[in-house]
Amino acid sequence: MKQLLPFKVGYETYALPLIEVQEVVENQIVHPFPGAPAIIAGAIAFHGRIVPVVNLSLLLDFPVGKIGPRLIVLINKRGPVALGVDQVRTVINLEINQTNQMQNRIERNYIDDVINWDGEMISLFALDQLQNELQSLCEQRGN
Amino acid sequence: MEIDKFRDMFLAEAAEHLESMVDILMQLDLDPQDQDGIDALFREAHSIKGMAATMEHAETTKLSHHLENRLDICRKLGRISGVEIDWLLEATDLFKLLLDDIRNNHEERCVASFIATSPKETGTSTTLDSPQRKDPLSSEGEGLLVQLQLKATVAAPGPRFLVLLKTLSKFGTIIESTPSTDELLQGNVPDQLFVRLLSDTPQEQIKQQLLRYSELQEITFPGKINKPVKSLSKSPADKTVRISTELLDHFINLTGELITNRYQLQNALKEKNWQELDDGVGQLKRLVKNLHHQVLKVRMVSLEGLTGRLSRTVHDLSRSLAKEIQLKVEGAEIELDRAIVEELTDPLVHMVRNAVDHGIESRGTVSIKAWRERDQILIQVADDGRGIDPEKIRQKALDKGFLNPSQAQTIRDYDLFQLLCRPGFSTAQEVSQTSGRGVGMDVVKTAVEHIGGILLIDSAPGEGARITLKVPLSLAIIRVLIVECNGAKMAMPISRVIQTAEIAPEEVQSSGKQLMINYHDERLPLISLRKILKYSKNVALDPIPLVITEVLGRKIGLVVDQLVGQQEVYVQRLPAPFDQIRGCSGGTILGDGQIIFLLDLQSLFERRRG
Repeated sequence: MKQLLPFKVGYETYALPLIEVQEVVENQIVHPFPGAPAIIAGAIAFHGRIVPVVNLSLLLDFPVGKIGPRLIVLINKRGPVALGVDQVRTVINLEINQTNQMQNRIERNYIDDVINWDGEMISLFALDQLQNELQSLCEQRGN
Repeated sequence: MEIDKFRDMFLAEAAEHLESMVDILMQLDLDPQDQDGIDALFREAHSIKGMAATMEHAETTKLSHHLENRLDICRKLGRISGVEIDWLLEATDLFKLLLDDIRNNHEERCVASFIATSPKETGTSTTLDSPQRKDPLSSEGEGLLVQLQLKATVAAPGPRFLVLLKTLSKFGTIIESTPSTDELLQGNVPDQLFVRLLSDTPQEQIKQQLLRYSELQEITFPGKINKPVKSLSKSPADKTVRISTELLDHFINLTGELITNRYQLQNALKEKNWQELDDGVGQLKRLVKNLHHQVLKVRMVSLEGLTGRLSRTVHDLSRSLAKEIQLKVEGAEIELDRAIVEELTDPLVHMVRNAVDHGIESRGTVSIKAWRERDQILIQVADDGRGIDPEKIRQKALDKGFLNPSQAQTIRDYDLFQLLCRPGFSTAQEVSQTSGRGVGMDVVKTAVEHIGGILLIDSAPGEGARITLKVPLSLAIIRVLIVECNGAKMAMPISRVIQTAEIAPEEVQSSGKQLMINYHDERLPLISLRKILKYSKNVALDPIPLVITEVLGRKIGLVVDQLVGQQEVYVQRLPAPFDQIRGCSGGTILGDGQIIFLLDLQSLFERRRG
């Protein structure tokens, strides 16, 4: 059994393995981050650390509104990062056989897999892809 | 794993010993008869030998052993020659290479050919190097050194010595002996035996026991009490930090107090005793401040470790250029963040090289002065050479197209000197061996600016040159100027700010597309921070808030929306990969939870240019 944290961005429902999530924080002020790439909405003060916030709507090409009241702070070996999403839902417990291996991964970015949860399609968010994208964006800004 | 740990320790300690050797050699260069200096040098070589032997690094041991022998001779002569000093300096260089080999898991390079180059004059004095006295154990080190001399009439000295060794071994452990048991068994027998003995038995008692042997001519104990070696600052490249136990105890005490404080606060909260709670918070404030102060102390190192290296640079360079140059150092005891000292090492070496190579013609003084002004450290490298002629720079800037003729007319000397730090601008008539390697002034400037410092050049023909670095005391806690731009607060290190000003819109003039202002008889371009950060234009401000700062060697007036104020802040590095974003060198969380990012104007401008 696997625990997943579903969240909404735009019209889509995504999910992350709960084990990747450090905390969901509420009502945090996102402070502007001058000079950062556009998908960085800003940064929050998280237990005394500065944690950049990624605007997922922008990253995933959805209409960009205000970042929702809840942010998902990820555990990250290299350093923390927070995801700005539209809505965070309650954790779901997933049986392994409920996942469908996607036929064509390349078709959609940032999706590892799709699951059918009571008739609702939930996309498993591809964290690795996000990490790589952030890395290359920040390096671009470095050169 | 364990071996790695020991190896790292060995490398760190050996590097320390080498550094103090260089320091001592530089002192001896001035006073070749300084007995304490020679003694200290001997001890350093001996320490390296001991450590290298333990770690089984044969070549390093061999070299240190050879050094120890030579220094022992110097010690007996009571002086050290200039040739010897130079040779010993070369030996320290070879040591560094050996340490590199060990660090990189390579086989140690062979030292025999270098040892063969040892200078003759003080070296192979026959009386001291005769077979009888060959390789006496040094009087320094662990244990008691016993020297036994047999009567000339003794028929079989070898077996006698073996008996004596056995007798001595009853008193404790024999660490080493010269000659060794093996050598004695092979019949290689001089008339003296040196034994280093680890024993609890008093010296006098051992002597009494030995006096029973009628064949002994003389029993002496050449050892003396080890003087504690002055601890010199560590190599800046060290990854480990040594902390005095006193400071550690301080931390433990503070932790204890913090625990007490926690219970005090918990209690007060439970009883809703506001007075008690208030006291507790006051106490906590004091403790945290103290803790902060102590932790910062751990990061602080003096400039002494660095000045040793600089005097070496001056020494070597003045020899190779046949110049007579003195180095004066003032304020080496000044302490600053080790990260800053690390960043400054190469730039300072280059500045000193420049002074020796280009500044001074044949004889003179290079002085390094460090002092503190509020929360900044100033380090000045000055020479009393021919100075830099602004006219020459002007001409060169024209020739190279750094300035157009009208700029060349109006540019101030200050800005002319800053041109020296522009990449591709060098005033050296020809590239010498010295200026050809290492870093140029542009790299010096970049390094200094990287740590939030600034570089100032000041010179006049015939008056020498002075280059001053202004750097922050610490990288973690710095004073910043907070400004507002597009509704967000952001900060810049105060060390980068020349002045803040507010000007009336009427004072702004335009020169082509560029807006300019007159500032202290200088025309400065106005640049908008909004524009640099690609924010939308602001409504017209009156007055216009400005930060006068210097970017890429040029003074500019940076237009911000509002000047907020100054504050001391704790700067955090950003988590990877965000620390690679240029234009932002970190951030800080203010007391009210607000995050402020630290602008790195230099790289923002570079980014804009590129």
